[in-house]
Amino acid sequence: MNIIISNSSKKPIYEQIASQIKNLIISGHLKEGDALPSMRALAQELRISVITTKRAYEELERDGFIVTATGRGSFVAKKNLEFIREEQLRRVEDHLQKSVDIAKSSDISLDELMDILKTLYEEE
Amino acid sequence: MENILTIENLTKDYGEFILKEVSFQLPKGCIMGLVGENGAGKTTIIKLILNLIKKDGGSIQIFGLDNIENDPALKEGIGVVLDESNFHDNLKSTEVSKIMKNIYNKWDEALYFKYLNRFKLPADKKIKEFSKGMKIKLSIAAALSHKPQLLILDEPTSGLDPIVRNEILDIFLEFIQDEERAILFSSHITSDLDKIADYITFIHNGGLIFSQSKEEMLDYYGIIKCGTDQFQLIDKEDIVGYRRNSFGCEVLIRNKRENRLKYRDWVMDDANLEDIMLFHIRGEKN
Amino acid sequence: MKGLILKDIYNLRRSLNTFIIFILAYSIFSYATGNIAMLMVMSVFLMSSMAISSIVYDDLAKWDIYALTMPVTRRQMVLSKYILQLLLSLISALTAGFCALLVTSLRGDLIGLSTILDISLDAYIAFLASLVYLSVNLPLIYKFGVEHARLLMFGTLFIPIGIIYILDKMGVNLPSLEDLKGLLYLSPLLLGLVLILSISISYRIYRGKEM
Repeated sequence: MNIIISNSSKKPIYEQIASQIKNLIISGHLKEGDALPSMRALAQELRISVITTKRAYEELERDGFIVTATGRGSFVAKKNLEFIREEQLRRVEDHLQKSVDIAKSSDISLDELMDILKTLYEEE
Repeated sequence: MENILTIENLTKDYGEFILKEVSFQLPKGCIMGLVGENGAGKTTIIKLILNLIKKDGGSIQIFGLDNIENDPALKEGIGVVLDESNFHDNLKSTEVSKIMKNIYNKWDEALYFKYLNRFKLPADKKIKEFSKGMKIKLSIAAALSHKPQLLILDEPTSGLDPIVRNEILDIFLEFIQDEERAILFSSHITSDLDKIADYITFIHNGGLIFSQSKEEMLDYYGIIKCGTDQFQLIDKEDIVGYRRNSFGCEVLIRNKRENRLKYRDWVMDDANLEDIMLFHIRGEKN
Repeated sequence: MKGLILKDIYNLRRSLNTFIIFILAYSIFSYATGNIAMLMVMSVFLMSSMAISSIVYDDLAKWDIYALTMPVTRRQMVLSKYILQLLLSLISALTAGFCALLVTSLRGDLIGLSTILDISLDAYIAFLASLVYLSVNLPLIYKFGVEHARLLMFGTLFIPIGIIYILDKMGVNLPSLEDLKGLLYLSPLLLGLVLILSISISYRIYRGKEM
C-alpha cells in the first residue's frame, strides 16, 4: 500500500491520507477485512504527527470506510459502495441546502452562489 | 490518567525575568515541542518540572502525582537529556553503565549496550574523545536505558548535523510507539518540530502564547500577502502580526478556516511553525 | 548513593595512582632517613583533599544538575562526599601505617608494642585530621563554591597554626602532649559531633541551592 503526501499541496495532510485510502478501498486494492497499519506506525513511517493520522482514520470511520476496534486496530469495513456514495451525496445535499437557505435569505443570487461553489471546488 | 504531565499557573520570579502563570498539558502517546526564543523561559520550565529550582506558584503533576511530594521516586520514570553531556570526560561508556546501575532500579545494561552499538559509540574510549554528536547520543542512550515513561530533553539537537539530527528524531518516533509514553523537548530548530511534534507549546517572554496540536495550529494561522493599501482593508481583529517590505505586506492572520471565504480573493498561504513564531515575536503589531 | 561514590572513585583514579607513587617514594625516603613521621603527614595531606577534588570534577562536568534529575536526593548528594572521604581516609591511614611498619622492620629496628602503638596513633591522628579538615571545608565549598572557598580553606589551615604560634610567643601555657592524650579517648565522640554538625550545615546549604 502506497501513501504519498505532498507538503506543497493546499489539501491538509489528513485529507490527503483519507482520500488516498478511500480510493484504495473503492478501487478494490484494499479489500473488506484488510488490516490498515496502526495510526502510530503510519505516523512514524510518514514522519508526521500521530494526531494527523488519527484524524484521517476518524474521518474514514465516520464515512463508513473503515472500522477501528480499540486494541485490535483498524480494518476495511464491509463495503457497500452504493450505500457509501448515497451517504456522501446526501451529506452534500444537506450542506448545500444550508447554503441555499442562507443565500436566499440574504439576497445572494444563484450566480453568486455558483461562483463561490466554483472557487471552492477548484481550490486544490 | 490521560495526561502524563499537567502544568497549571506555573510561576517563577527571577526579578528581571518572570515566568508567569504558564499552563499546559502533555497527553500520553504524544511528542510536545517547547518552542521560543533563547531566554523565553523554556529551560526554566524544564528545571521547574524536574524540581531543580523552586517554583513561586502553580502546580506540576507528573503521572498524576505532585512533582515535589513524589520526588525522587517519580524520577525512576523520567529520562532526561540536558543540553550538554553531563558525564565526566574521563569516564568510559561502560563505567557510565556501572554508575547508572546503582542509581536506577530498572537500569537495563543489555539495552544500554544495544543502544551503544546502534549509535556506534565505542565502549572502551573515554568520553573526552567523543564528538558533540556522540556525547548527546550517549546521553540519550543513558536516558532510555532505564525504561522511562517520560522523556524530557532540553535542546537535544542543536549544534548537530542533519544526519545525526534525523537519527535522533527517528529514535523519538520509535520511543513513542508505546502509547503510555510521551516526550517533551525544547528546541528552536523548527524544522525538527515540523517533522515530529504532535503538540507545540510556544513560550515568549515568560508567558504562554499557545499550546495546541500542531494540526490545529497549522489550520489556524495563515499568511496574507497584499499591497500596502489593501492592508488597511484587513480586519484588525484577525491580525497577529505583519511585515512590510518595499513591495507589499505579509500578514499573519488567525482563524484561517473561518476567514477563508472572507479573504477568498486574496493571496493566502499556509504558515509554518517558523513563520508563526517570527510573526508573533518580530511582527509589528498595530 | 553507591552509584555516586562509584562515580567519584572512577574520577579519582589518577589521584589514587599519585597517592600510591607518593607513598612508595616517601617510604623509600623514610627508609633512608629513619623518619617515618613525614610519611604519615604527607599521606594525610594527599588524601584529605580527595573528596574536594571530586567536587571540582563534578563542577567541571555540571554533574550535580544532571544527577538531581535522577532518583537521587540532595541528602544523598551531600552524604556521599562525607562517606567518600571516610573511606579514602581510612584506606590511606591504614596504607600509610602499614608502610611505616614495613619500613621500620626493613630497617632492622625492633617492632615492639610501643612502636606499633606509636604508628597506630600517628595513623589515627592522620585519619582524624583529614576528616576534621573536610568537616570544616565542605560547608564552605557548598556555600561559596570551590573557587572562592579555596582562599578560605587556606585560612582554616593556617589560622589555627598562627594562633598557636602567637599564643606560644606570648608565653601562654599551651597544653602539653600529655594533656592532649586525655582528649584522645574522647576523640571518636568529638569527631562524630563535628561530622554531624558539618553534615547538617552542608545539607541545609545544599537543600536551598537552585541548580
